[in-house]
Amino acid sequence: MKLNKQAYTTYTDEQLMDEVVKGNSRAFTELYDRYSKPMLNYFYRMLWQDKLKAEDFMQELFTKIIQKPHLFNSKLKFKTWIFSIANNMCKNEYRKQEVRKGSNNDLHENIIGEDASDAVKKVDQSLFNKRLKEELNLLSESHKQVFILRFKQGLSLKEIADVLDVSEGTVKSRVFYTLKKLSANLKEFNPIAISVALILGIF
Amino acid sequence: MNFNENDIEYYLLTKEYTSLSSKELEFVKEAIPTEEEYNSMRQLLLAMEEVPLEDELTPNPEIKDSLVTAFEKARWEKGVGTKEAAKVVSINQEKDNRKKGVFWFSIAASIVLLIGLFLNREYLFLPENNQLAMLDEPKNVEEKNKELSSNKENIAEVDMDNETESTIEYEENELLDNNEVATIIEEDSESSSINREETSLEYKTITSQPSAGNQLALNEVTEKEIIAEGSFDDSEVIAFADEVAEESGFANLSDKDLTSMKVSTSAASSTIVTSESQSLEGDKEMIDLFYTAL
Repeated sequence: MKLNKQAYTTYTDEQLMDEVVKGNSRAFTELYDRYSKPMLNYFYRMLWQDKLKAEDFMQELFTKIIQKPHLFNSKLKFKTWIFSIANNMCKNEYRKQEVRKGSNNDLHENIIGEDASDAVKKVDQSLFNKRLKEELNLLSESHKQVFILRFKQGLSLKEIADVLDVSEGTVKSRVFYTLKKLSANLKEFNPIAISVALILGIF
Repeated sequence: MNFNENDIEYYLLTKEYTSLSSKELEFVKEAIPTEEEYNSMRQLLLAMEEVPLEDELTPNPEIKDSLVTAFEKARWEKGVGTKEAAKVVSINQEKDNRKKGVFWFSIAASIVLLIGLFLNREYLFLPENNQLAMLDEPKNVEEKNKELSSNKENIAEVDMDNETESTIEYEENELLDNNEVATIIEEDSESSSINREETSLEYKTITSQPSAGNQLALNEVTEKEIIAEGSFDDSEVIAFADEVAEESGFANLSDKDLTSMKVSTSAASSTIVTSESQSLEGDKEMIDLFYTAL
């Protein structure tokens, strides 16, 4: 058993997927171990930090792989392929949320409003993360996706282009637009300025 | 965050705007036109790196178990992947299983065969218990022949003239009809009795050709009585004829008539004797043939 497990750890994602198509459960288990955590956190960041929803989406994602493994495009990398599926799932969820926006549209905004008014008063690393999440939620879906895929999941510009089915130039422009907007909204969390203030004893 | 020299983020994280070379500055300006934007973006990325990431979520182990179970179940269902892929998997697995099954079955059969040979080694390899070996051995064949020969009938050669006999046992059969003769004659080397071989061969019956006068008397005399009595001489025949005559009412016959009767009876007896000798000769030939056959 150990030998088999070690053998599969040396497989590439694409080789494992080929085995999954053939019905190899061990290959599927190896793929799950590699991508369950990243995909769970991706959904968590994309779906308003809702842990339960993120788990449901992650399970649904792997269920789709079980049901239709033959749909894997061998021309693409497995990483790109699985993120494209996840991206489409998030898009569908956003459309549902837009329909519900009339009744529950104030929920996220209220949270953001309250946090934004108190953000400048405290220098707190946890607050920075919180504020960052809030700012991301204010972004459009496409910009948010690009930012998370680039800075949280570590995908290259080309991989993001494959996931979103757009050109690399489009991805590049979206990345820097997002950076620009976030940096402007989170200017108070300038680490250099914070460090200087701490040294001088202002806070 | 992992970036390389082909990524603008690499320079944002590693170099200040004033530290960029001309080439690097030209490359950065493709995406970030001003220094102020460069510095603002740099600050954000540094803050993101310095601030530890929030604790990442860990998947629930139950989700993995349920997915693996679903995978195992779906593998054997029609809806898993393409039908062709499912068939290939099952066929390959079946072939492997068959090969393994044949392999282990052959081993088991070999073991059973060896055990059987070991248990029955006495009957297979020891000549005493080997029925086939027994048949092939000449010793047993000779014994068998002796047994057979001991059960055979001995054929007596009878020299009618000298009345010598080689006595052997005979079996007794019944007389079937007038055309068959099968008698048992006890061995008696001294007497004139004749040992006859019992055969199923037909012999011509010894019939007398009586004269008209004593037809009735002779008809009453069965072959058996004649042969059982052994050979007859004329005096005995006459005495016997007298007895018959008395019984049949010929006692009052004249001497002439008696004489003719005696002649007839003697002729009949000689005929009988002759017939007997002739039949014995025939018997002898048959006996020789029979012995030869045996």
